[in-house]
Amino acid sequence: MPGERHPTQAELLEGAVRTIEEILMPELQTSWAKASAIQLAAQLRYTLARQQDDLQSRQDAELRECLASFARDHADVDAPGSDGAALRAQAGALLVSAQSRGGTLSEAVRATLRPLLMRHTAEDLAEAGPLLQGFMTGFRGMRADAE
Amino acid sequence: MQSSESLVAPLERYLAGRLGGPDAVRVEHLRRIAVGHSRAMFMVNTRQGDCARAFVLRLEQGGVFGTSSGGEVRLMRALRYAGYPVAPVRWYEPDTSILGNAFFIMDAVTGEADAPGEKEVRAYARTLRQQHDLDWRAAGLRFLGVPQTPRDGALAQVERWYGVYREATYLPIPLLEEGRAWLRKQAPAAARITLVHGDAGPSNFMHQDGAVSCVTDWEFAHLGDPVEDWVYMATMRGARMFPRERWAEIFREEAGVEVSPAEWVFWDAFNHFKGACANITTLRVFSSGANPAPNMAAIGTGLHLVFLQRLAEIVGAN
Repeated sequence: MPGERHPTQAELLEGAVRTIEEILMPELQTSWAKASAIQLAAQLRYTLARQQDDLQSRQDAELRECLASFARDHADVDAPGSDGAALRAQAGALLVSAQSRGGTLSEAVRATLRPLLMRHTAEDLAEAGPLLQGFMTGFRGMRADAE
Repeated sequence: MQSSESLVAPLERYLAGRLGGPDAVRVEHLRRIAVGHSRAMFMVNTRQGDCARAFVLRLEQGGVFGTSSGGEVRLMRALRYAGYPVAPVRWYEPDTSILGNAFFIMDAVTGEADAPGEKEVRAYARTLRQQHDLDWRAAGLRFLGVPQTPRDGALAQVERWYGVYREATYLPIPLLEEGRAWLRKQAPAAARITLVHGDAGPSNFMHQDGAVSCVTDWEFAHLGDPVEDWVYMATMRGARMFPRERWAEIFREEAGVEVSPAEWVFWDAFNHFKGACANITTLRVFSSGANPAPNMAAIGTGLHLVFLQRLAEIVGAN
């Protein structure tokens, strides 16, 4: 039938969040249960945000491109690996090496790779904002109940 | 992941076996307390005949932070024997079939853990100094692992937490790898090796009438550089209470302790490294289903990232 559809994942998650916040939470008795409900709603909001942006794939692509540029410019740098673990292992090894060695590669690592990883961390943190906020709100609620 | 109610019947059976006597043990009240994430803490009020008792149950959470209760209990018993203020541990139970995880039970200690004021943290600073002055050899604490050189106090801890992260993580974390290399290079030599609490500061001691009634949460304790505890107290547990300069004054006035600028930087970086490494363990605990509670996901993701970002900032600036 035209117009009929299943609910989207976003709608299902939003419904779950509102049910927790508006129906279940007012009924909960203990501070631990309230804190868990706040954190569960936050977890669902985080899930919802992650559906809208495949952050890890984009970050992997940026990291791969950065490492590939090192491999192009420096004969002693291997071509980047194919998966996220290999990319991150290579990036870590380059950061560690740049701490103890000078030279153009270390300068490039400090000038491009490190800022890129700092930006990725900031992006991950922004994405995890709802989780963190829920965690802290639940935490403070428990403290307040205890006092 | 257990609800409080699901613990009542097995706990009654366990306590009846431990306490003995003709009367059954009834758990009259079981309430999750504090906000501990590596251990679930419950206040347990029981009645057996006419006898009412209050215990605290400390229940592991599927391997969060890579620590176990066995060493914690051994340390707490040794400290109590040495006259240091810790709660008396009644029973340690490594059998996970009873409550789902290893646990131990302490006598409830009178006092408050939350909201210490300046008077209380000054009292705690004096207590912490006593902890650092404790003769750990005489107290039988060699089992914690004795650093072999003055720099080992720091290096052993860097490697300990690096190992925890490597065992728990799904993916290498480049900035954490860099942090470890920086810490290894910068590790200071300890002026002396002492018992280090590892999670010292507000909320990890109980207080009553301005005095410390007991020091809690010993799971991170080790032998090492006492400066670790002072910086942790100021920059982690006590960061919201006073600025660093105020903490430095309190440490000087109450414990005769001076922390050098280089020590502040190193141990601040280390504490964030440790936090980032420890917190990643909750992600595996969460993903494996060992503890699917939402706080596990939040700690392993958001909180881990907060520590990682701060570590990278310190390393970048130094």
